[in-house]
Order: sequence, then structure tokens, then C-alpha cells
Amino acid sequence: MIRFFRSREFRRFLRNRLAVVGLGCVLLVSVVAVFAPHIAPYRPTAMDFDSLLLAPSTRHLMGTDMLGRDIFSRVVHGSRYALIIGIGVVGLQMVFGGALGLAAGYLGGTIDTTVMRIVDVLWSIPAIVLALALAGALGGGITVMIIAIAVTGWGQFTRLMRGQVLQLREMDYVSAAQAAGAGIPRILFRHILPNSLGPVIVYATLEMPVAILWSASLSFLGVGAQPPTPEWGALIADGRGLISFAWWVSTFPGIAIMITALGFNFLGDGLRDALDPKFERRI
Amino acid sequence: MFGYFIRRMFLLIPTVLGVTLIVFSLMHVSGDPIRLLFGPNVSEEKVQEKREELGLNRPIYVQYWNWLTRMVQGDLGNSIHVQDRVSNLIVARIGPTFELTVSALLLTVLISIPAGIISAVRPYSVIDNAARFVALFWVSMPYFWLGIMLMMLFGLVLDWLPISGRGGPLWTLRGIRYATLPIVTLGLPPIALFTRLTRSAMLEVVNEEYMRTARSKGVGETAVIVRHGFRNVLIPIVTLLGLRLPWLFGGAVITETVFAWPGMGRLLVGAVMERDYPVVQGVVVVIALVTVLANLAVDLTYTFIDPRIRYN
Amino acid sequence: MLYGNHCRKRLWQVSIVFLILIVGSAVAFSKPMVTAFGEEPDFLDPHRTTRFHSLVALSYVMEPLFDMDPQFQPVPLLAQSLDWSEDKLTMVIHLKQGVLFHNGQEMTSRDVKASYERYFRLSALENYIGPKYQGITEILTPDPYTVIFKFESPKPLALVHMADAHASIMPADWIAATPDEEVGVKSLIGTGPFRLEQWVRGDRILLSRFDAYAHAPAYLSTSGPARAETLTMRIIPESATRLAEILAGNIDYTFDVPLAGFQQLSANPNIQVRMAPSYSVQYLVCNMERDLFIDQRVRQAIAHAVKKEDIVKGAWFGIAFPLYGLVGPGTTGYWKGVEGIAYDYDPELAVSLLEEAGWTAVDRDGTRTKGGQRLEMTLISFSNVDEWRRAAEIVQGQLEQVGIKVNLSLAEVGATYDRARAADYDLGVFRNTWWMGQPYLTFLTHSVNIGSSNFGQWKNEAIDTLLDLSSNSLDDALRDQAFMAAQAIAVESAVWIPLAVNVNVLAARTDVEGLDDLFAHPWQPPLVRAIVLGKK
Repeated sequence: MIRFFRSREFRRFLRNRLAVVGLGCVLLVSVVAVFAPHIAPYRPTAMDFDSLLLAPSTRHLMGTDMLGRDIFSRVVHGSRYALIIGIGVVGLQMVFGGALGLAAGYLGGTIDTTVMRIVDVLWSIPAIVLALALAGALGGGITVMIIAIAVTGWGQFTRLMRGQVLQLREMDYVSAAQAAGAGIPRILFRHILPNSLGPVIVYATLEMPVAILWSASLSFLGVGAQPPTPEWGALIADGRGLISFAWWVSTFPGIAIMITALGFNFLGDGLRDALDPKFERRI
Repeated sequence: MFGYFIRRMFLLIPTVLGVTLIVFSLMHVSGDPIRLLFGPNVSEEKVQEKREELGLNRPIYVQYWNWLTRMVQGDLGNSIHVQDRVSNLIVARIGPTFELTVSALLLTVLISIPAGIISAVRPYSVIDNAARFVALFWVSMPYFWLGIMLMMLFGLVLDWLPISGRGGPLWTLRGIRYATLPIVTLGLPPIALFTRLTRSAMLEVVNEEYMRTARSKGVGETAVIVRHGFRNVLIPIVTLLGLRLPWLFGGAVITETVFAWPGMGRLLVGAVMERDYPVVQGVVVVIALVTVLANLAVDLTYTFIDPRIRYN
Repeated sequence: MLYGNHCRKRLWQVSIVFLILIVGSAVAFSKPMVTAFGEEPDFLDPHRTTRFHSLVALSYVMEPLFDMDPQFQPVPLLAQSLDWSEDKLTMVIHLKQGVLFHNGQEMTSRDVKASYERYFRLSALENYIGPKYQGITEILTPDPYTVIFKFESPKPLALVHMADAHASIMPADWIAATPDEEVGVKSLIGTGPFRLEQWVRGDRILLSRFDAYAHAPAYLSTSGPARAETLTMRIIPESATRLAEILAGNIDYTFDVPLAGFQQLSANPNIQVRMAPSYSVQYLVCNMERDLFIDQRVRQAIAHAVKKEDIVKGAWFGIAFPLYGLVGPGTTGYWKGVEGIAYDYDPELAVSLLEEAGWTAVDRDGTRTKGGQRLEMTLISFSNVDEWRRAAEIVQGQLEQVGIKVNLSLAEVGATYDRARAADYDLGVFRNTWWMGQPYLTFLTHSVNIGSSNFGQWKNEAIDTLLDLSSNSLDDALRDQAFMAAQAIAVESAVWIPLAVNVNVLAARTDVEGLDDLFAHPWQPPLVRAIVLGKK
């Protein structure tokens, strides 16, 4: 790990200004999420029927919504859900999709064909149908959303891991380990996984904003988190009918999502460039 | 080569079966469409009657088998909700859907490829950073928000373009005006992905030995890039286009909802919400078929782009 | 040679493009009147449909025998006059003469007979006047303008049900020649002021004026035809989009007004806004199968903890009225006296009631406990309707104030209905839309509907008896009394806690005329909309 920070790759990363900005945004959101209850001036569910739809002011930095709730507090608490959803989706995909990809790549043969066939089949089903049908079958809520979104994307991760395994399997150190009699788990965990870390991290970073934006879409379609959860997607969806006169209800959560998504996108983009030898400066 | 083609066609069957099986099960697990059809003001008895009539009380595998046997004969059944033939519903919506998604894809590609090439030629420059920022900007906000913002700005505030709906076929002036905002909403976000792909593929080429050789020979920079680089770009672009083909059918749900566009995405999502099994299954089957065929087409295209690739 | 061909081909191409552009813009210039729907009809077949928006749309095209006037009295529409036999078991209807269908045929008694038979055969709704409920068992047509309905038992509300657009009249020959699934999908033939031209699914329904229409209801100042030449019903499900279209002046009139935009619309000089109470009501209901609710004090506490005014403000942006009885002011049979019986907002009383009921201890998060059990409940409702979602949230917050923890479990329509019928909930926020009070209250509170529409899952003998009386008794006064008493019991029990009654809001461009005539009728029926609304 420390090697990474001193390496050429890291210096390349730093030269990419967008990537550094991205890192900053991600750190900002993470800090806000961790300290949310201390940052938010009001309880996110506290309704005040005498303060409906107030414009941003000193008392309410981002204004109030149609039930008199402070939007700033809701946006701040929403950062937790954004990260939970992102990490949850990516985590599920990595564990589930990754395991299958490793198995497919390393064991090959029928297992490989079966797994890839399943991935193909799932890929052919429009993601929205899959997500909606799952959410409909399992009910609403954050957990179901995470599962539904994860299911729509794990195929990509499986392909990634499989590709990694196929590539690294040919490496000398792997053959050496095999010759020395190392078992499959040892080879996977000691040799293949660590060397796949790069693409995996890039993938995870770029998948976070996808997951967060998906949750916004699902909220738009009415299958999102249970109210009064201040999940950003739900906040935007709630306020979209008011844009022409109470723009702050949708706009601030929208900006929050954008900053988070942009942050992860820049970061991931930068990481990808930094770790990819193709991006050496032209001589 | 021909054998390869035949083998790939055979793979169609398990894929389509798998797709339909999964979707069928999911839909039936998610609940009863008849109550949704009738609304609250109808007795339970009537609901059960209708279920009997439509054969929804028979065991799942029986229902699946019936549907499957009819499907291979070309009969996709009737929509529970609307009671029109599923094929009619699909045919009515396919045109407007393609108008939207194909145009959006065209827009994306037309912007991405030049942007990607420029980015590759001048990496980390101001232009590169600006292009990447803009590209990633569009993909960092929810589709519906982008759509509503555009609609408010260009439709309501500036009054330059119509707000929603389809104004007619795409080759009429009116049709184009109505389609502009939805196409832009749909076409901007994927630019990030396509640009990165182009940039990445071009960079591979830009750095290679033979480019330097060509340059040292005095051949014009542009000619070199375009001739040698472009072919390299085509493979990942064509792959991505192939992967996006299913999207062309049902991927524009949110845009269609925001702009009241009569497309397949809305039909599909509406059907899922209403548990209109025949419609969902019918549309998904069509998409699955197209996907498999598209993948095949993409693989075949590779042989044209790069004659070194051969299948056996 | 090649050059000549090329030139001609070019000319062709250019001319075709030119022609198409001309045609395209021509369509743009003949502006029809435009209205907007927030939901697409499923099919426009009056006998088959059960959906509200379908009924509204088809009422421009189809008509039943009777109509309801502004005083909620049935008046003849396609009928001219009627006679009842002494025993009230035979109804003789004399039809208006010279009424034409859209296909040019004249409406006669055999059309009425064929339509009613089809209606009884196909309708999924509870057919009060149908053969299954000892209603009409025989229809005779002695001559082309006379129809005789024979009832098995007396049906005092028969005319009200015959004024329902579900019982609309179609040509007998057309019925015989058209498969059921095509009616209201491919074509629709009725006697209404508009004819169905085209339905582009997911996009719009196109109607054109039927010039031969001349039999508008007598309470209107005009007898027909409709004022507007053509009407386009645009389908715009997304409320933000619909609001934008209305603000931009692209919609001539619509009743599907996104309430969030009400202030903006009212302030807009090019738009006129009108309101009237509707018959759509929302209520909170306690599932009586749960032990929690057996003690009436708990239910009453809930009723006292709910502040209807805040729910109106927060969920409907103030564009609704607090509701005190299950039957609202826009519904037939409304009884103003129920307001005195309803439980008012009194959180202190709620708290003392809960303490009386033994819920004295309070947990760390403020939830009351009794003997180790927390006063925690699950509330279900639809997730896809913003207003009900907000109403549920507000109820949750209000109950929290008195120490009741409510967990929201909102899901889309299908899933929620499934749970509702499986009685898998503690509380629920539901809505009902029916302009006829008596069948509607029966639907909600009669024990026969437990497990389907009686979401209180409650059997109360008194309510059952009173409701039966209010539908079958031949004594008008007794019927009214019974209905009022049933309403009182429903509200007093606190099993159902009425929340709000909606308001019909019409937003129209200022150049649209006929609004006064339309709002002279308490619920602005679609038929009246069709006839009187037009542009200057």
C-alpha cells in the first residue's frame, strides 16, 4: 500500500487535476456522512407546518420542503444513504459477481460456460425490468433497492474478474506456485487477487455513482426507499413537481448527487489512467 | 465460418429460454394483475372469475409451457391490462422508440468520437480536461433531473422547443422539434463512456512504433491518426454499440416518462407495474432475440474490421 | 442520360420532402382543443372498464339512458320519459326519437336491450340493477321507442345506477359484429357529442365533434352540438411535465392539475383556475384483526392525534378539505351532521386515552410501552402517489407526538392491495372515488366486504343492517335515516378515520369559455365538459 503512494502511478494520478478534485469530493461526502447528526441543525424528519416551502435563508440554509422539513439537514443525512447504497451495491457485486468470475476463469470448462451463459442471459433482460420486478416482488426499502441494483450489474464484475484470472493465470509466479503444490484458494488469494486489485478498485469506484443514480431512478419510479428516509434520489423525486417555483427542494439534493457522482467518476477515471501503462505521456 | 454461425444461432435457444424463464418467474412471484386491472371497486369474486378465465390459476409451469408454445408460433398473447394483442402494442411503439434511441445514439457517437480523438492526441491538456469534465458532468446526474431541467429551460423559460409529446414522424419539422429535448437528454450522458473508449483506443495507437515511423517519414499527423487509429477505435466502439442494442428497445424509460414519449420503455415499465405478464414477457423476448442476433452481428463485423480475426 | 435520371430523382425527393413538411405544418395549424390526462385509459369500453380515467374519456363519446342533474336527481338523457308500475317491479321507458349514433343509425329499443345485456354480461363492477342482485331479469322491446325493464325486486336507486356511464348505449348491430376486445380499443360508437377518431396509445386520443348531436341534458342552456370542433386528449403521466405544459399554455383545459403548481397557476394571467369539492376521499383505517385495536380508546387516541388541517396543507398543498365522515360533500348521501361526531385534533386527550388504556411507560425513543410491548404499528399505502405518501408521512409524524411509533411500508399499487386484502397491516391510508354514497359506504364498511374492500376488517351488525336498509327500503325517509346512522357508527368507532376530501381543480386558458355552465354542476361531469367547453 505504501509502495503505491510513492510509486510512479500515484504521481501520475496527482498530475491529473480532475482526479484530485474527485478525491476531494469523495472525502467531503464521506466526512459529511460520518458526522451527519452533528452537522445537521435540525432532525431530518421534523415537520413544521408553519414553515412550508420556505426559500433558502439563514435559518434554513437550503430552505424547507412541502412538509416544513429543513432540506439542509435532510441532504446531510442523505449522504449516509448514498454511501450505504453505493457500498452495498458494489460490495454485493464484488462478493457475488467476483466469486463467480474467479470460479469461471480459474476452473474453466463447463463452469465457465454456465456462468457466462447466466451472465449473458441476465444481460439480455432490460435492467429496469429486473430492478422493478425484484423490487415489486420483494417490497420497497433500501435493502431491496441495493439488491435490485446489484443484480442488474454484477455480470460486468464477473466478466472483469474472469478476464483478470485468465490473464494472470498464465503468469510465471502462478505456474511456480502450482508446481510447488499450492491449492486453488491459496493461488487465488495470494497471487491472483492482489494483482487484480487495480482494475477492481477502478471498477468499484466507477460503479458507486452508477448505483447512487440508479437509486434516484428507482425513487422516481416510486420503488425507492421508504419515507421519510432522506435518500437523495427520493428528495429529488419528491420535489420535481415544484421546480418552477420551489426549485430548492430538488436542486440541492441534485447538486449533492452530482458532486458525489462527479467525485467518484473523476476519481475512478484518474485511477484508471494512473494504473494503465498506456497513458504514459507521449515521448 | 458457417459452422460457427450455425453454432451461434443454436445458442439463441438456451439464452431466450433462460431469459423468458427468469422474467416469467419474477413476474408471477410479484403478484396478481387482475386486482390491479379492476381497481378497488370490484368484488373478490369477480377477480377470481377473471383469473380463471385467463388461466392464471393453473400451475406456473403449465402457464409457461402454454405461453412458450404459442410464442414460438409467433403469438405473444394479449395484454391483460389493455386486452389488445401484445404484438400490436409492440409494433405501435417500436417506431417512436427507435426514433428516440437511435438518434440519441447517433448524437452520442458523433460527439464522442471526435472528442475522444482530440483527447487522445492531447492528453492532460486543457482541452482534454475540459472534454472529460463535460462528459462526466452529464453522466453524474439522474436522467430525469437532466430531462426536467432541459424541459424547464428550453420549453418553459425560453420557449424555444416544445415541452413534451411526440409531434409526428422524425422526418417532419414538427417531429424534429418535439424530439430534440428527449434525444439530447438521452444522448448526452453516454458520451462519457464512448469518449473514454475512443480516447483509450486511440492512445494505444498514437503511441505505437509505426505511428512514430510514419511521422518521421513526414506523413501528415492527421492522416496517420485517422487511417491507422480509426480502425483500432472501431472494434471497441462496435462492441459497445452491440452491447447497447437491447437498450435501444427499452432503455429510455425515464426520458420517455418525463417527455411523455410513446415508446417501448414506458410500455415495459408500465406493464411491470401493472403485472401485465404477457406484455413484459413479449417485450423481453423480442429484446432478448435482438440481443443475441446483435451479438452475432457484432462478432461478424469484427472479421470485416480486422481481417486477422477469424472464427472456426 | 444518367444526368437526366439523377436530376429527376432529385426533384422527386425534394418534392416529397416538401410535401411532407407542408402536411406536417398543416397539421400544426389546425389547432384542436387540447386537454390533458394524468393517466391513460385502459380501454374505452363502458361495459368492461373499471377505471376512473377511462370513464371520463369515454363519457365524451358514450351516453347512458339517464343523467344526474346538479341536484343529484336522475333526469332523462337518451330516455324521454318513464313510468313505474304500482309494485315498482316494471319500468317502462320511452326513448327520445331521432337520436343518432355516430355511424348514422338511429337509436332504438333493441340497441338499449343489447347494450344492457352486454353490460350485465361483461361488467366486473357490483351490478346493483343486474340479474345477480335480483335486479333486471327481463328486457322487452314492444316497439322501437319503448323499453320495458322487469325487476325481480324493487330497486329504489335504479335510476341513479342507470345514470352511470358504465351502462352506456351502443348500436346492437355493431355489438354483434365486433369482438368484445375491440370495443373501445379499435373503435367506439355511441350517441355522445364527440366521436372517437384515433387513439395513439401512450400518446393521445383524438376526438371530433358529432354535428348531429342535439339532445344535451335539459339542465344545460344548449341542446348541442359541442362547442369545440375537435378535441385532443394528451396523455402526460409525469406531473412536472403536465404542469410545464399547462403553464406554457399548451393545454386548453385539464382537471388533472398537479396541486403543487396551484399557486403558480392561479397567479398566471393567461390561466384561469376553478375549484369544487370532488368525491375522492382519503381515510386512515385500523385493522380490527389486530389485538392492538380491540380497545376503542387506542383507536380514539389515534383519531385525536391526527390533525387533518396539517395533512391537507402538507399532502395536498392546501387544496383539499378536512374530511369528517366517510361520505364526503361531493358524494350523494352526504350528511353534514357527521362533522359534529368526528373526533377533533386533541393530542392531550389522545395521550390521556392511551394512558387510560395502560400505555403509560415510555421507551427510550419516546414510544409508549405496556408490559414490555411497544406501541408500534405498520402503516401501508401506495408509494407511487405523492399525495398519499406525504399523508402517510404526516400521520406518522403526528402519531409519534403522542408516543405511537409508526413504520411506513409503502409499496406500489399491486403489492399494497395484496397486503390489504391479506390483512397484513396495522394501519392503512386509502382512497376511494365513487360519486354514489350508498354503494360506496357499503363497499367500505359492510362486513360482506371483509377481505376485499372493507379494510377495517370489521364486522358490525348495526352497520350491516343499516346499510341494507338504506339500499332496499322503499321508504325514502327511512333510507336516508339509515344511511346517516350508518355513517355515524362508522366514524364513532374510530375504525375508519376520515382524513381529507379532494378538490376538483380545473386549470384552463383564459380563452376557454363555458366554465360557468360547467361549474354549475357540483361534479362537472365529463358529458357537460364535452358540450359546453370551447374556445373564443
